[in-house]
Amino acid sequence: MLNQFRQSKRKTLALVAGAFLAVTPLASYAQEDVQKGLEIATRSDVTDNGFGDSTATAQMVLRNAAGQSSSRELVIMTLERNSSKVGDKTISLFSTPADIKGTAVLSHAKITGNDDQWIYLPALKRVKRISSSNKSGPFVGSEFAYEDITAQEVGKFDYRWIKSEKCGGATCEVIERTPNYAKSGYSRQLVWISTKTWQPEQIQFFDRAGNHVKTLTYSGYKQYGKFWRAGKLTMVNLRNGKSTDLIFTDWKFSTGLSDRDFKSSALEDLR
Amino acid sequence: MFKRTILLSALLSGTAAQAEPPEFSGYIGGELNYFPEAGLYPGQLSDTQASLVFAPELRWRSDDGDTRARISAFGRWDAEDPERSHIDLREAWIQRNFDSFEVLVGVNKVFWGVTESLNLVDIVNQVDQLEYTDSNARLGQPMVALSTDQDWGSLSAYIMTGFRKREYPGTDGRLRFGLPVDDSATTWGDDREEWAPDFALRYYNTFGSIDLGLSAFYGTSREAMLTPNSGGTALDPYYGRIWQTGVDAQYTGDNVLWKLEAIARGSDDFDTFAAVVTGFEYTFYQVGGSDGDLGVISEYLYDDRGADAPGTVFQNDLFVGTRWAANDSQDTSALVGAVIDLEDGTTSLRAEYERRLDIGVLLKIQAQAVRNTDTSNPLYGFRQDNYLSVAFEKFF
Repeated sequence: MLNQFRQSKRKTLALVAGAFLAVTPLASYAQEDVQKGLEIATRSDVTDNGFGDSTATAQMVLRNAAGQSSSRELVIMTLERNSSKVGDKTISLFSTPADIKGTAVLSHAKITGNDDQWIYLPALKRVKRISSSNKSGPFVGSEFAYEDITAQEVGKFDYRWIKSEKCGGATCEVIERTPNYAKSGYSRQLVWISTKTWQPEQIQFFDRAGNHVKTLTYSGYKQYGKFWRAGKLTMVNLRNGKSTDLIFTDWKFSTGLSDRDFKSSALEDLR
Repeated sequence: MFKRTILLSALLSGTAAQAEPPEFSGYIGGELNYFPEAGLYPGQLSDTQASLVFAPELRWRSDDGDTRARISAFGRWDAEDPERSHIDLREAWIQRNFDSFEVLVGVNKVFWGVTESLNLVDIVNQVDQLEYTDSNARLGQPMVALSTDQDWGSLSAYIMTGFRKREYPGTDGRLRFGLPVDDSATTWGDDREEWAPDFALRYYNTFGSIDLGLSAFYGTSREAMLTPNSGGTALDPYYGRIWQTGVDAQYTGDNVLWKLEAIARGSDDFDTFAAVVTGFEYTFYQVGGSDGDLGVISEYLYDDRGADAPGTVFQNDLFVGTRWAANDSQDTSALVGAVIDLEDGTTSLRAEYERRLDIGVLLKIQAQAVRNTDTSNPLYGFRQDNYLSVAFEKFF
C-alpha cells in the first residue's frame, strides 16, 4: 500500500517536472543567470521582511508634456503578511483634491490570481468591490499603472540576471523580470538593484511589443531602522512625454495597524 | 486601532496628534436646469430652474482617536420652486469605538446595496425626492447604531425613530404628480406616527470573489401610499408599517461583475411581494488604445407588488447602460443609460457627464428624457419634464 503510494507520488512529480520544462521559455536561458536573478530578487525582498506595518504621506504630481501639473495627496497604509500565497494589504486614502477627499482604495494582494480590491466613495458613503484585473490601466490618471504600484511580490515574476554595473555611487545588479500574472501590460522589466541597500534604483518597462515605454527612478533613499524607503519615485512615460512624481514623507513603521483596519467595512472610519 | 487613529489624525492634519481642531470641509454649487417643453400642469415653472447649494461638513476626532463626531448639512435655494428650497441635516452623530464594537448615536446616512439602476435593499434613509438630479440623495435618519467587525463578518444593528417624510416638489416644480401632495393630511399605520421605532439588522462579509450582504427591517415604510383626497384636489400620503428582508451579492470576475439585490416586503396593508434587480457590468479596459475604460451594464428589474402597495415603475423592466471613465487627471467620466418597461415600452433615458475643471471644481452635466410613454405608465405624467442640467461644485 505504502509502496504503491510512493510510486504514484514519484510519477506525479516526474509529470509535473516534465510539464514545467515543456512550457517554460526560461529553459533557453543560462540556468545560473535565472538562479542568480531569483536570488537577487529574493534578497531584495527579504531585506524588507519584518516591517510589520507602515504609513506614509505621498504627494502625487502629474505632469503633461507641456509641463502643466496637477497634484493629489494621499496616505498609504501597508500591512505586511508573511506568506508565500498572499501579499501585503494596502490602503490608499486620498486627502486632495478636495472633491475626492476621503476616497480610499483597499487592496489585498495575492501572488497568483487577482488582488481583492474595494473602493470607498465618501459622497455616497458606499463601498464598492472592484475588479483588479485591469493591471495595465493608469492609477488615478497617473503614469503609474495599477501593476506598478501594487505589492511587488517575488512570486509575481520570473527572473534572469543580466549584468552588474555602476549606478550612482554604488554597484547595481541588473535583473530582468517577466510578469507571470495574467493581463500585464509588459513583456519584461529591467530592474537596477543597489547592492548597498538591496532596493531598486531604476526600473525600465517594456510593452508587449518589446518597446521601452516607461522608466521609473527611485531617489532620496533614507533608512528607517533597518528598512530603506525612497523619498521620491519618478515615472517618465517615453511615449507621451508625461511624468508622475510620488514624493513620500512621514514614513512610520510598526504603528499598530491590524487586519481589522484593512477590512472593507473599516474604510468609512478612516477619517 | 487606537494607535492607528492617532497616527492617521496626525498624518491627515499634518500636525501633532494633540489638540486637534475640527476639520471643516464641504462644497458650494450652482445648478441650472432647462426644460425645453412646457409643463403639463398649471403653475409649473416654464423652462429654466436655477438654484444654489451649500453643503458644509464638520469632522472631529478625540485626542485618543476613539471618539469621532460629524455634522454634515445640505441646503438648496431654488429660484423657481419654493418647495424645492430646503435644508437637511444629513449627518449629526457621535461615534465611540470600544474594543470589539462601535456605537453611533445621532443622525446618519447608511448605504446598502450593489446594483446600479436601483438599490432595493437600501432602506434606512428616506429618499430626498427634491434632489431629482441626484438619485443618491437621502435625508438624514436619527438612530442608535451598534456595529461589530469579526472574522465571521460585520454585523450592524439599528434602532431608529424620528421618521423622515418624503418631500415632493411644489406646484411650481417639475417632475411632480398632477395633484400636489398634501403633507398636512398624512396618516400613519402606527399611532406613534413618526416616533414609532424602526429596527434594522445588516450582515456583510466577503467570501473569496463574492461579497454578500443580508438585511432585515421592521418599521415605517419609506414609501408613501398616495391617494387622492375626497375633493380630488390633492394626494394624501399614508405611511404604513412594513417588514423587509433583503439580500445583496456581487461576484467579482476579471472583466465582469455579477450583481443581485432581492427583497421580500410585507405589511398588514398589502400582500407580501418580492422584488429583484440583477445583472452584470462588463468592462473593456483601455479601449482603442486610450487610458479609458468602457463598461457595459445591463440589469433586469422585477417587482410583483399589487395595487394595494405604494406604486413602483420597475415592475418588469430592463436597464441597459454604458459607463466611460477616462482615467485622466481630471477624473472625467460619463454614463448613458435607459430603463425600458418590458410590458408597455415606456423608456426613460439618462446621460451624465462629470469632469474636474480646476482644483476642487467639478462640472456636472446631465440630461433626462422619457420616450414612448404609455398612457397607463406613471411616467406618462412626466412626459413633458425632459431636462438638461448643468451644475458646478466648488469643494473646500
